[in-house]
Amino acid sequence: MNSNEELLHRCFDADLNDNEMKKLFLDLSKNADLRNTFRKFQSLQHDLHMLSQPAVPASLDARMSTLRPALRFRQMQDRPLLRRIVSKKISLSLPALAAAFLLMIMGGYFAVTNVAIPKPKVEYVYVVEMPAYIVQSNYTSLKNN
Amino acid sequence: MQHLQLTDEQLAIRLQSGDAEVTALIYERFKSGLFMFCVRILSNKDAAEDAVHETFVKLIVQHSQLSHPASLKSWLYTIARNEAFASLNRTKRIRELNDDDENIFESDDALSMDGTEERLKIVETVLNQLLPQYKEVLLLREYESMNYEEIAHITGTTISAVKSRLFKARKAMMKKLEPLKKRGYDEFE
Repeated sequence: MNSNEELLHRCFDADLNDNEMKKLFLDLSKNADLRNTFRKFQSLQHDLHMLSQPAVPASLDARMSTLRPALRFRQMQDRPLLRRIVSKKISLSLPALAAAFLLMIMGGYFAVTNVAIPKPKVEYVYVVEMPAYIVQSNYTSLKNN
Repeated sequence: MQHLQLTDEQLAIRLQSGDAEVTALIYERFKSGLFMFCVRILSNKDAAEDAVHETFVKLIVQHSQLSHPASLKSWLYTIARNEAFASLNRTKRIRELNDDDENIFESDDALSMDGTEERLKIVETVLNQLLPQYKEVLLLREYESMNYEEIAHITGTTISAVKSRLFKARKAMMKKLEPLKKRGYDEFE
């Protein structure tokens, strides 16, 4: 695009500084083709703004009103099953969790104290059955000695 | 009425700080513009409704990704634009742009010169015939009054590409509407 056309184009985009604006104004006064193009641009822009804008359908509004509850459900669905279960259980049974923790502490205490208590000594009596001839021979030898 | 005075930035900050109720305010503020933008890009009201719906789903779920609260509007239009183009891609392949390509219309159908046709209907037809990449820059400029930088950010192109596309789109539309001159198109002349 040539410089005049570029200025014209940027004029419609509100992108001109003061100096560029002055230059375009002067060029427009001298150049009939540029004036013609300017009018066409202006006409097109006018028509674009005259086009009827599609109204937002009521169905979209209805969808949006249900969007937040639906999203909450979707977020729940997206979370991994285990995390969902754990978070639900934890949120529902915090007192039970506290009780379980207390029991665990008590269990640990008893486990430790049980180890510390000395076990009662048990004396074992071994009974050995010996053949009678061995007992007899030993008795005889002891008697002779 | 107090929330009507909130700026886009304030709305975004409130949303990010956990005020979920502000979603409704953001929806009310942007729904018309976003819907119109999507309808024009997609030429289909149902598909546009889906695109806007998904845009607000992403607003609620991913609002933490909005790094600059002041650019809430650009962010929403970027999402809507991506949703609309994804929808277009599902139904038809979008032609890759070539800067030297003179034909920037999707179809070369001749305009009806039937006297009963209203001028604005024809302008709308020509607008709808533009390739989506040209249509989007024109819509963002004309209806949302965005500057080149914002449009470049939303469309993922450079500022010079935005300028070039805007110029080509307008010029091509004027050229296509030229035959209507005798039917009173150039009422300013």
